[in-house]
Amino acid sequence: MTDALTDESLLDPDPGPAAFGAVYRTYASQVLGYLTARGAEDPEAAMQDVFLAVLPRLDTVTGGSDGLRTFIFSVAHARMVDDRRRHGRAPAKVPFDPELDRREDLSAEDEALDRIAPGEVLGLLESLPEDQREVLALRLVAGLSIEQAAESMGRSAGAVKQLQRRGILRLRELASVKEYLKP
Amino acid sequence: MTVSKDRLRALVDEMLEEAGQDGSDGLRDLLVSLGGLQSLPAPAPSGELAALMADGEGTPGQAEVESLAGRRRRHLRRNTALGLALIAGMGVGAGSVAASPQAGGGAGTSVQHLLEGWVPWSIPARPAAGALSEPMDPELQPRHDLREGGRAAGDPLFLDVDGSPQPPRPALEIDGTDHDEPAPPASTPHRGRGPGRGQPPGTMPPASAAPGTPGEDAGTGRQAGQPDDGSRLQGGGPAGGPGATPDNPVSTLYPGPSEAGPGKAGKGAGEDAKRNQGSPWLEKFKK
Repeated sequence: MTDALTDESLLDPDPGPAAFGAVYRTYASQVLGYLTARGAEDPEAAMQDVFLAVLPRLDTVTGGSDGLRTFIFSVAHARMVDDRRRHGRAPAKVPFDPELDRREDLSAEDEALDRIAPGEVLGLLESLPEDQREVLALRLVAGLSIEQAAESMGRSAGAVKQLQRRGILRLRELASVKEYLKP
Repeated sequence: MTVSKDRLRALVDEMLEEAGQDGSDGLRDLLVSLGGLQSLPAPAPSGELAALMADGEGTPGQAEVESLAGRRRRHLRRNTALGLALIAGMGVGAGSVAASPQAGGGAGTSVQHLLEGWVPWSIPARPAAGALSEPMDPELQPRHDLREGGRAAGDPLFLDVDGSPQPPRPALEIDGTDHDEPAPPASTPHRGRGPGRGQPPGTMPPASAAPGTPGEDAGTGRQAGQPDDGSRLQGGGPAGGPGATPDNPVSTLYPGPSEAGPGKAGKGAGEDAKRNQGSPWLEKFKK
């Protein structure tokens, strides 16, 4: 992990545009991936909302880069909770359309993505319960530890670990069924 | 900042170990693919976020959140205004259509006009004001129908059938024993003695063809140049009564329109107009 954002830079009581830009460049991709994995209706707009809420409060963050990561994904988690509540009141779910997905495989996971398309991964994730999906997204996409994910979700570490185990088992079942049904 | 490939694989192995799984049957690749979402290309900041990052001054986050809420409220108000405008427009349109003087009778006449060439019967137009108040004379109606069958000089029905004047036929044809063309009566009261009596039972002859046969029988005398009764012409008979020829026995049975009285002239003209409504269909039928 090449973190250009150092703990010393976060100690600045009056962060300026440079700090805002560094924070955005460091976490924007992960926040966007997390919101996409969570099934946000408009992940890019939600990501900008997250940073609009995070950047003005940088001076209140403690715990260095780990604390900032936990804070950012706590805000993202709250943003998703609000999004889910809004969807519950006025459901307007738009299905994922691979034709409209302009993402490019720029990461080191090209080999895996060649075998399993992002649309298929998201389709499998949608079959998981919300809590399990949240834990897997926080751990795999946001890169949080068990403790950090527990803090972001407001749960105990044991509960998060159990949710992670159930989510992985469920994913394996879904993938097996998918392989069985594959022509 | 993205997690490198090796670190992601190490993270996946750690999670599989915590879950008690070995990562076989593609589960590891699936988790690695899920972790690949962290490398999505992030768009450049735009709008308020770009202004915030360019400004650099840490404006209170509460103000930004309030501005986002205000934007959503404005969006809701805009949708409400659009809906109200749409409803008002629909109301104005419906009101104008209802207030249009052509909205009521225009549709009926248009449909009648469309069906005119395809239906065997002619839908009568709106009856004249006098026709409603005037009771139908049972004695005059058969004569009138027979007179309607008289061959007129400008009647397109007969010109299209054979295009030449036909000799008068004996009255024996009227009783239906020798019919070349379907000659049903236009109205049911004449079924017994009208020219459609020779129609085979169980068939429904076209009503508009009813005046044709009697006209062929009775009206040919005048078209052949035989003298006609002048009183009939003065009486307003529109198309030469069936009793135009002195030697036509029908004239003894059904006197001409002059005997019906000059007061029936207007009614006779109306009946002719109704009869001509079915002529185009009969032309198509015969073609």
